[in-house]
Amino acid sequence: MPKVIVISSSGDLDTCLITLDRIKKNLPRMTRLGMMRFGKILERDMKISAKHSGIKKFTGDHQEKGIRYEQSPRSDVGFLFMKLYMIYLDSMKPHYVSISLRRKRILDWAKQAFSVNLRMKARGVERRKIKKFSVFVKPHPFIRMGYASARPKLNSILKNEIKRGIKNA
Amino acid sequence: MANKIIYSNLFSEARNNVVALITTSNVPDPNTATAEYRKRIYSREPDVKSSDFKGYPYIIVWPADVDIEKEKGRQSLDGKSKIVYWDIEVEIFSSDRGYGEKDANGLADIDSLSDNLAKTFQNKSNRTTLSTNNLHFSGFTTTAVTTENIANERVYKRSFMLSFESRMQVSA
Repeated sequence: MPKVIVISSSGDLDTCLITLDRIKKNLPRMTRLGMMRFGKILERDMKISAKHSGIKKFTGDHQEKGIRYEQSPRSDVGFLFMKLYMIYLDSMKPHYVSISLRRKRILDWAKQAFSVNLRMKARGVERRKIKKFSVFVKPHPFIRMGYASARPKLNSILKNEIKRGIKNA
Repeated sequence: MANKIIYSNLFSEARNNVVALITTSNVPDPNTATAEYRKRIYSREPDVKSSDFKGYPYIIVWPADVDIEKEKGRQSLDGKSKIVYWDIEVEIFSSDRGYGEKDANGLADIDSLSDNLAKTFQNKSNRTTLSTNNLHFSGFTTTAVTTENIANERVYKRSFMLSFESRMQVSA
């Protein structure tokens, strides 16, 4: 969105040009700062969205380093990194998963599941009473929600940072 | 009670000053009588676990984000005074589906709280109080209302991005 900046001085064109140069120098730096600030908010909102969508903490480290925003201080591009299992959790197709003794992690999850039936079956597998069983898993869409929550804040953050950059020029 | 911000309390007092203004008289609770107490200001996302969570509407005042001007020529000769910027995000959440309890009040609640927050942070005497405590040039921008589902409730959400600045002593 284009914005018009009016620079006024007491009739001195040189001062105007110097100020304009300072603004040109400051703006990219302030925009980068704004992006970094937005990145941290995006990371936080994405983690909150993952929590709200029902992804439990024990599925991985998504509440710590599993979701993180990174941007080099001199770069105009920032990245939101996410562990691959989070992408799968967000957009997988509903499907059956087989739980057997060989699949340790999912067996551990089944042993502490909310459903009593599931817990009993998991113990049955562990005690080798049953060979395997399957559960129906559904996706936990959270990425779109997290982005929708953070995105409206971008304009405000950039506007604030740019205002500071111009004010201090 | 909020105190003046000095170099030793840059983070804590900035947030305290904002929280101190969000009192029940400045920003009344749309659902609860003034005499009744319930926690409504949080520093992080509350643990909403049940589908009949009674805590709506609530306000999150996130920890302050402090930025100290690094550019040369913008500090005092002795290097002790610099320009400091604060950004504090205030988020308001209200529920629109309360299982028979005040259904469809989400938008009314969030608008009522937003009106009162805007009124409080625009108020001249409140701005003077903030200025006295070193939070000058207070201003805010707001975001559009977004909706999300938290524990099977449709929740309305709006953010206030508060910003302050001050040229102050940052070293003893």
